Amino acid sequence: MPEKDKIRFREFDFSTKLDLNIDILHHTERIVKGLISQRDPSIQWVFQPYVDALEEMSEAIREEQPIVYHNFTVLPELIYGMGIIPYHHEMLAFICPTEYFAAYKDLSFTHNTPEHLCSLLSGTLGIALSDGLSKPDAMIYASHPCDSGVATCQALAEYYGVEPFIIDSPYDDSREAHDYVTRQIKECVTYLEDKIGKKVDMNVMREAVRRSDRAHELLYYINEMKKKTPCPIPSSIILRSVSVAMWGMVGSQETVAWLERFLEDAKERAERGMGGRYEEKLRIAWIYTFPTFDPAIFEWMEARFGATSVIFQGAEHMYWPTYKPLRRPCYDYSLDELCAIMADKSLNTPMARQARGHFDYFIKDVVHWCREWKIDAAIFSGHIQCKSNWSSAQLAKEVLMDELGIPTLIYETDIFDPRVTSAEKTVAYMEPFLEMVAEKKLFEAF
Amino acid sequence: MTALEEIFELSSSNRNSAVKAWKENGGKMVGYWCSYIPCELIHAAGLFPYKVKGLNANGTSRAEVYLTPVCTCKWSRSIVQLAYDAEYGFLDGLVGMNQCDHSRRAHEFWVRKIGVPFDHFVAVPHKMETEAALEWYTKGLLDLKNHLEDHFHAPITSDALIRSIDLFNENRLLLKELQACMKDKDPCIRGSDLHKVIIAGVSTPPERYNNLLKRLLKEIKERKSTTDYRARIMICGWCGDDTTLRTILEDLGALVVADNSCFGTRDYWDLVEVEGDPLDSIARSYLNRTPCPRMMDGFARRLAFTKEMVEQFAVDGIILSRIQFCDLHGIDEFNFKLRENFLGVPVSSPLIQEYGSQDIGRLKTRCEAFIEQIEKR
Repeated sequence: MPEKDKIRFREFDFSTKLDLNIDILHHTERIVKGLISQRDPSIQWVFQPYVDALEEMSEAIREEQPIVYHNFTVLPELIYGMGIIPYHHEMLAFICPTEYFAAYKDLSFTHNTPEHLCSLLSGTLGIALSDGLSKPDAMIYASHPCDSGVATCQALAEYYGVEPFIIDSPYDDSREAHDYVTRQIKECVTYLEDKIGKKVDMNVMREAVRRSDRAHELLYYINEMKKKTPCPIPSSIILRSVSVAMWGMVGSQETVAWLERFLEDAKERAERGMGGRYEEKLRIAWIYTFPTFDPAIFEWMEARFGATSVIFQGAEHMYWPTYKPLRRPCYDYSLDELCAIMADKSLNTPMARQARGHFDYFIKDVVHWCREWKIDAAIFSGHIQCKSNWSSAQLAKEVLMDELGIPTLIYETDIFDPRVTSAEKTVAYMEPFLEMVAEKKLFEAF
Repeated sequence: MTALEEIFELSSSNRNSAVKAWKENGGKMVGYWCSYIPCELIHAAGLFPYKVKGLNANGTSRAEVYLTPVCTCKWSRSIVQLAYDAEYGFLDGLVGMNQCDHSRRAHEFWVRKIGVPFDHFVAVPHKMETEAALEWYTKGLLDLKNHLEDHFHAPITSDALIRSIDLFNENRLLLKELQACMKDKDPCIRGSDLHKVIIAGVSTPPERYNNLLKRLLKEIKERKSTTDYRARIMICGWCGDDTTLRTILEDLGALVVADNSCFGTRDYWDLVEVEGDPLDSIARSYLNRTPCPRMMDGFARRLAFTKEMVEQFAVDGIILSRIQFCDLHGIDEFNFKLRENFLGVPVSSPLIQEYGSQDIGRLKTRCEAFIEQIEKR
């Protein structure tokens, strides 16, 4: 097993030919549950969103509900609000075992999909082409955050012969832009009514939106806790779970319950002055994505440099600068009002907010996070297929140094596929950078 | 100079004779990135609408500081490099849009790092067939109109818009007439030359260009026809302003008779139909034109258009082409391959080009193999 500084990295076997025609949903479910059961019982709750998301997909199939796909910038509260369970087709690629993910990704290329498509979506298409997804009855795709999503929507629509509902994303953040999306979400409700054969129940929709608001509120408080030193939430393990809970299941009671537990845990740790396993010496911001295939990378950072990963754009909904806790408590909103609330969230969901429009959105958010969370260094782990955000990397680096004196490491990776940049190679990129940051901090202390 | 020679000159450089003449007369020019920006609006303000291109860029090293070669297409990088090298110093303005992730960022960096006297951004919808999208696009064009008027002190009247629509519609009809020549068994123009005609068109004031096209249509009928070719090819996808692929195919003995691409038929096939307010008419017509793969509800239309072209131009085979890193055309190729049987002719595997003629050897091999595949049918 590869290791560095006594930290062991995951070992993958990409040489074995996998049977891709298996029931990948149930296979993943079995593996995830098995791995979680091997964990210390006190931290098993951390992984609950994976189990919830997979069980929801199984339930949607078992109950013979209409299958509704949504890309990650279409928050699923809209689908929960229609009284059905969303089918997390992209999430399955996100959660499935890495070797399978890589094999599905490769398979999609043999069917003429472009190798520079976002690998999450190549993996999703690979699963679809292996009949690993249930055929959708409806699909909702937003045109943000990127061309890969725009393209994948068309591939899935054509492959399954399903007419998708498209939410066109405006480039700016004006009132008119929000109204435009609000109008489309309202049209989407009509589309869903038609596709699933039932009218919207306003009380169910209100409840889904209320739960989503509550989830965002909880996450806001969790992120506020991270401003403490040491950071009470060493992010290394929980990052992916946040992504699943928010992108996949926001609007569900499961996400609310999990975030409540998460916040309680964070509060308790903060009160006891607890950080991670290692003393916090450096506070790191992952200003874009992070390698999802091996949490040992974070452990190595902590063990070797005391570098705690405090914030992460992609999963933590750090955007919520416009946090609005004061919604009307009785939740008697009209459909128009609910659609406006959902539009606001969809446009501001992580990555969507930073990638859909002008690069200044990304730059401003990055500066905000790094300033507010007292960050020592930033890392841009550039997902090699991500055209819009890659083009903001160098500018972010310059602005962070100019405005805050914070250095940034930019490196190439595929955040899902270790064959591009392995864990060992990732830490090899990081080592001289973090050494420099540690020396800089030491120098500044004198 | 024959019309075709004049066209070759206009298409071969960014600062061509039309640009020089326009600037010498004190004219203003506004660049634009994509054919979803209506030239009519720019022209009606008395400006020369000029589509930016990556022709003759001397590497892309300066552009790469921000537009990483890891995943940014070389066309966008080439354009920004040309801007860095002051090759586009003649532009008095630039209109960007969310055409794709590459070009929108390229536009932003051009504006931020190099600067341009006037810049405007239009958020063009990614769908065609809804009232909401049409209203959004119309509002975007109205904002562009107001901004152009303010900046250039040039009122854009309805009459001026109608005149510009008529002029560009005449241009489209002339190009369609030229394209119709490709229906002949022995066409009087080669596909690679036709591509240069189109490149010249987006770099020339429409008045001069229309006269040139009329001359060309007379001249080419006296030209020797192309005979004894090996196969009639249609190109679907992105070649942009790079004629390399067409030239390779024709050097190998094939003939490019049709296309479904920008810098091709998609640019001119659909006229602006005036019904009521001219700005509304422009918005409606542009949004509903034969769509680019950026339009998420557009594949059925692209497929139908391609099928129509195959039949009208007696196409023997379709080459799917894209520039490296273009996800939009990349997935279109997946979809076209899914529908190969419907199209009824061989469809190549995706052929990926490195913009700027640097991979001619590889392209030649792929093209030769495809032509042989057609010949063996």
